[in-house]
Amino acid sequence: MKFDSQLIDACRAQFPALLREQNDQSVIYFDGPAGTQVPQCVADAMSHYLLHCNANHGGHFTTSVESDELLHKCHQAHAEFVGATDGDEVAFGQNMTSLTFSFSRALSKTWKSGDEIIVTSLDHDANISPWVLAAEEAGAKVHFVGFNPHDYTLDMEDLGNKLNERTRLVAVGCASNATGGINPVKRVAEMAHQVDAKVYLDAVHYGPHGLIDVADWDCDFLACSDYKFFGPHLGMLWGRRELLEELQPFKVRPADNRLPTRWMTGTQSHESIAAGMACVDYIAEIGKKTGAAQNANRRDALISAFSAIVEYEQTLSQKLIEGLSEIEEIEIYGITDLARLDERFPTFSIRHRNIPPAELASRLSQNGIYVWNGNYYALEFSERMGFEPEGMVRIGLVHYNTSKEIDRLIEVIKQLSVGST
Amino acid sequence: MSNIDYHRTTQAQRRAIESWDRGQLKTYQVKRLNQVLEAILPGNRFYQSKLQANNSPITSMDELHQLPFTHKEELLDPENEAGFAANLTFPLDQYCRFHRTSGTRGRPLIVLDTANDWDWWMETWQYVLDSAALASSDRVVMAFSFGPFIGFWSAFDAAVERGAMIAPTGSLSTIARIELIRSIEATIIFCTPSYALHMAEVAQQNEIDLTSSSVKKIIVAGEPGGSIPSIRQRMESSWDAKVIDHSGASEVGPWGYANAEGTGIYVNEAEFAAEFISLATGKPATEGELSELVLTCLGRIGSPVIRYRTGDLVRPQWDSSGNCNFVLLQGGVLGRTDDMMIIRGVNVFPTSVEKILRGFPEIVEYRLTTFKQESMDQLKIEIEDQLESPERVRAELQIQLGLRVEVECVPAGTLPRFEAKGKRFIDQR
Repeated sequence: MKFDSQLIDACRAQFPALLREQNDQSVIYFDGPAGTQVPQCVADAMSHYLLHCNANHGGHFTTSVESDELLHKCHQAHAEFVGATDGDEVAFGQNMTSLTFSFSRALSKTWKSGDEIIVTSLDHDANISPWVLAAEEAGAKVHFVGFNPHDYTLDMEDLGNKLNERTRLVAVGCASNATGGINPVKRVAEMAHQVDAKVYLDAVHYGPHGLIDVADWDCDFLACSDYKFFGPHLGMLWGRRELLEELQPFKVRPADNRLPTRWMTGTQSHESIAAGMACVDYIAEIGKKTGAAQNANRRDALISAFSAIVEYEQTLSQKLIEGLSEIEEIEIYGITDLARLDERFPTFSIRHRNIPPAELASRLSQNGIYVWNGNYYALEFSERMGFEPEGMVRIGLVHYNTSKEIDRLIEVIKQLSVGST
Repeated sequence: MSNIDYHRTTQAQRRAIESWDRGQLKTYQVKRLNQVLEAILPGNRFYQSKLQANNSPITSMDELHQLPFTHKEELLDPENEAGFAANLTFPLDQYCRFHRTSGTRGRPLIVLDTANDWDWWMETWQYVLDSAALASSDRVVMAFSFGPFIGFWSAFDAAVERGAMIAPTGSLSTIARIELIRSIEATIIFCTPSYALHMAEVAQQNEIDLTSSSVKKIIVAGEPGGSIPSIRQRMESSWDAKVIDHSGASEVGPWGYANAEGTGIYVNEAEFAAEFISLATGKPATEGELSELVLTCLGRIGSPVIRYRTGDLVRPQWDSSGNCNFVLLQGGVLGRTDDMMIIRGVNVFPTSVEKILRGFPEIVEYRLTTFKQESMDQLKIEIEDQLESPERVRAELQIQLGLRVEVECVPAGTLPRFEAKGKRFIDQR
């Protein structure tokens, strides 16, 4: 079933932030890739936790027991969100960056001098620097996989040539937070496993747009952050049980050494974890309105939801590409071929020939359109494109954005372009 | 007509390509080279004959050396009276661009390009124009006669593509060109290094101050000089403009462009595979070693060259610390393999001598003549010297080259001036 206007309105109605106005116009949130807005149910879940079952972990009193039961469900919900079945394989943390830094420290203890790791020049720095620093300590060599400059996709031939029997890890993003391009991570995992390398996926940018499926992708580890898919500021790490049990985390001695807590340092933000489950359920509810049965399990509902979201977001991508293509001064850094919309999400990095990125973002903001400028931590990409320090402007759409909002964006950019030299 | 998987790029995309590490670059080159081989072999008799034993796809650029070299003499087909190059892939009616080499070193060679290949020329030229930051707001004067030489025709079209205003000056005198530059407030000029200096000389004679002109950049090619510090400095001070060097050859393409510091030329390795043959050992050169540049064109199908011995002497430097990871030729093209003289056991290149002579601002023009005397190379230098003092020049040559060379002052205005490639080196050996 499709994402029709009724459903879009129903979804939008759940996000109080979308009611915000500026100069008598609705604010347009095209800043999703840095963190989406949240539906009321997420805020309610957080509030409910704090007000009704706020307690630390492992106590014998009622609120602690209730809290632990709720947290257990949250692990399970997030496992289902990423396509796993075992909630103990999910560890929570502050955000993907913090989790990856912590995990890289543990994983790199298994590396030795002469080993090699592979990162990519399309990734957010959170999936680069932790591994580069860990490799430095271990004496391992780091290879960067490049991208095809003609369509900004991952250079798979380059990856193939850099993989060898010394490769211990391939760290790659599921989708680029700069170009919107979707990486063929299933193929990456297949290639990496042929040389017995581990695969660590960054699904932060993928999360709000597509169905994560660790089972199908056959990766070893995957990290993402709930605040990118309509949730609270929370990060999660999934790993194969046998690997999470085998590896040695850096932890305090009294902390439980069983999964999942051995990978969760200190007391977590329980209210955020509770709200994280609410955002997963928010998406699952979309699934029940787009084809999944009312009694469908959460995973099936998520499958249906993302199927509809992907289809709808492709219409947004098409409209935005067509609109931006009408503006001679704009260059898009990502796939623009309308026949290849299934290879990208609606995240667009652009530059205006005559208006610097910061100024363009600022002028759009004055018109009530919120976009990001800079490198958004896709530093390697921005550097290789020669865009530093100004970077680019990022227009990031999610399912609560509309075709009309794109019309307004295009109109404003056209107005700003007139007379710009 | 065969097509290859070749894309026009934006400036940002070219920057991304320049940032490739050697691994990604080599992977790309293998793909491009195989596409070229696949595209040319069905119709190109020249390479069918040369590559008959090597017709399978290569898997690594390390295999390139298994292919035979191409020498310029081979392209000069003695049986072809018209003078068309021997390496044509297609029937003549497929070609739309006719150009001819300058014939500096013998019989001129006619090189032809198809429309697709000309588009590829435009693509490769954009790297050069990027290095000059040529913008649509620039006003460009082409100080060139627009004969059959390909260089400035391709530059012209490439600059037009960028939206700049371009003024051809084919039939104009030097003073008329200078006046045009001033009247339209040109910001960029294209010319040879010699001609940039000649215009400065003519301007001075006519009491015109070029340093107050609107020209901000001089894009030079056609002869060494743009990357030789003394010559470069002289051009820059005469015009108060930045000199941007680049390199190309009719039979190869515009293969090189200046680094930001102006200390060398990058080989555009996205469109040309570069090899370096050590002058000392005949084997692949190491970092900084004096060597001959060998180029394989990765995008020109109608007139391809594979492992072309350019005869250009260079010193390669592979440095990945900057924004561009293409191989840098320190000091640009340092000379020609066939220009080398051995004078009393010392290897001497005309460019080395030129570099010293250009260090004297009072030397307006010069000519080098080499000849054999009792089987030994000899060198005679004629200078137009405002000070008429050849002894100080002899002394400097002895300090820098370790040789005592005959230097003779000749009257002002008696040595020839050049608009295109300068012919200041007369080889009578």
